[in-house]
Amino acid sequence: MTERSSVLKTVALRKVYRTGSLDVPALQGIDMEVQAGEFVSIMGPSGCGKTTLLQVLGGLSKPTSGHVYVEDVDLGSVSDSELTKIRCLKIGFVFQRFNLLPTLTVQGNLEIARQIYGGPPVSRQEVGDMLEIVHLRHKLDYKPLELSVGEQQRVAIARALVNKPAILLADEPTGNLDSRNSEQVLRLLADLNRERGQTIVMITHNLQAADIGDRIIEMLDGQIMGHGNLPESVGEPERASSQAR
Amino acid sequence: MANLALANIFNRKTRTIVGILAVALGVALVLVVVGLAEGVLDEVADRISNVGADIMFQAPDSSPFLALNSGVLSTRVGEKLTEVPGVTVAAPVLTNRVMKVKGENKIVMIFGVDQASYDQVGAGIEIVEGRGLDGPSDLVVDTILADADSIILGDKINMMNREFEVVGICKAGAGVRLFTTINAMQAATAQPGKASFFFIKVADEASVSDVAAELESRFEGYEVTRLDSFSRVMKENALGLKELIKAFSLFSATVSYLVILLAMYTTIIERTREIGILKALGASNPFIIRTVMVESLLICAMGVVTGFFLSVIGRWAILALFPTLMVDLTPRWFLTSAILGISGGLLGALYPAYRAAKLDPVEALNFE
Repeated sequence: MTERSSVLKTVALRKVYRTGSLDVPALQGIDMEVQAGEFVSIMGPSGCGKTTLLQVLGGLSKPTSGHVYVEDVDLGSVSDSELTKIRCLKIGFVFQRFNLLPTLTVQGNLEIARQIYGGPPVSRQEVGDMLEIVHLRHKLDYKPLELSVGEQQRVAIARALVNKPAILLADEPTGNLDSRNSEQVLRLLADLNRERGQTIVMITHNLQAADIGDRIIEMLDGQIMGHGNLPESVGEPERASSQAR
Repeated sequence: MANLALANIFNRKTRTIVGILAVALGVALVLVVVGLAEGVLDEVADRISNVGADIMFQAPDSSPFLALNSGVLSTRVGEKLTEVPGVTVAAPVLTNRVMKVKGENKIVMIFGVDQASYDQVGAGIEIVEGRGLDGPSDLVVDTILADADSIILGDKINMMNREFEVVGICKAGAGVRLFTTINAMQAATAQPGKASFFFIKVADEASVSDVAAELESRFEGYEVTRLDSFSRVMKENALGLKELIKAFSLFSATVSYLVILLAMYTTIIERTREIGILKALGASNPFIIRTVMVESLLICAMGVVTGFFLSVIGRWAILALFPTLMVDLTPRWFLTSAILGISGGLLGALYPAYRAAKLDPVEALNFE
């Protein structure tokens, strides 16, 4: 078995939100590690800190204490401009609400991801190839609002891959999709991981969705409750109810 | 290449059009108002210069704005003027303002002249229809005023409490738009034997400066103005003109500033989520600022070009409605108004751009 390198690692990660005079702990000492090529699902009930964890992992939000390492670079030790560069080049985001830029076409949405860091322009051929991965090459000139929600999410995935990120962070990528589109998006993510070795960390509260990952991290109240595969980490009744949905 | 600034401009048409029009309005206002002020002054100055005289001789403390002066010089001063070496002709002129022409309110200057000496100083009154001045109620009208007010030969026009008869139509462009005899003017204004100023012709063009210096020396305190610099003298003495131009320039820049500030600020609020997306994609603060500034620059540039068109249309409309006015749209003021419009707009975009750059990506992404 080949040894895989660590792409993402957290050490004693804490994040506390201050609401008036009240401190609300969102993350309470998270230690986790994601290896290159791994597909990790993070599960947990609403409000358990999943999204906060993803934001901190992606450098969108700073932790109150602790460390996040992306390819061994401590995000807390770099300048804002370096952090911006890491976010641009090392991390791809996929959001629940797709977050495509509505004024740009599909092609424009992919191009802007490259333009942002001043890299060489993406050719139409390259954009087409990226869209081929998500089976949307024919939608190059469409505006986001002219696409179905499933197509929008697939474009968002293609955009996240433009700069060939070390890690893809997906925040409830199927949260706004119907079951058919959810299935397509999950299959796409699984294919990306399996065929292209893309490292993926996905947040979901959907048991079936979580099951496509190599590993599931279960969170509760800002803490990691367990690592492992679905049968060990999740209770059977909960799984059954999810599958019935 | 995806151009976010251009895409935003075309996708937010109402905001873009309002921004363009507001900047255009400021630019056009500056161009037309300054053009009108300078145009009228230049046109008057040109007409005075086109008389063909070399020097204008006025009493002390007189204004280059001829309509502001009354007859304070004796016509006999002309004899002393012709004694100055180099002076060939000194033509007396008595000026007055007419507030109504054929019942229509307008301010028109009238020259009372001795046509014989007036014609000798230069082009004189070039009659294109009818005849020149002779009798005490004779009136000559220039072609522009005649066209504007449908004045024809034989018309009886009441002015200065007298009835004048239009005996001639003269070519426009030299002197004023109305001429009568100096005697008639002296009688009408109760200033017998008086003149407002003298046009002086010098024998040798090269010696105009020497003659002017000699006149200044002999007539201490009197105003001696070379007519080749009359336009500049008029502008320097135009009370409030510089202030008016400054006020409209400031107004234009302020309009651009406020409109772009408001438009871009509203846009930033409206697009908070999009800015969050850009930040999540790794956009740096300079990238966000650049995007906002480029968008503002494009709106301002389109506003400036639209303002140019509006000013040309405005000029055409003013000349069509008021043929005796002039609007000078000069390259210098095209450039100045463009700088004012664009710099005002860019200044207005700075704060929204800064605010956009400082948005927290997580808060921006959660913005509804």
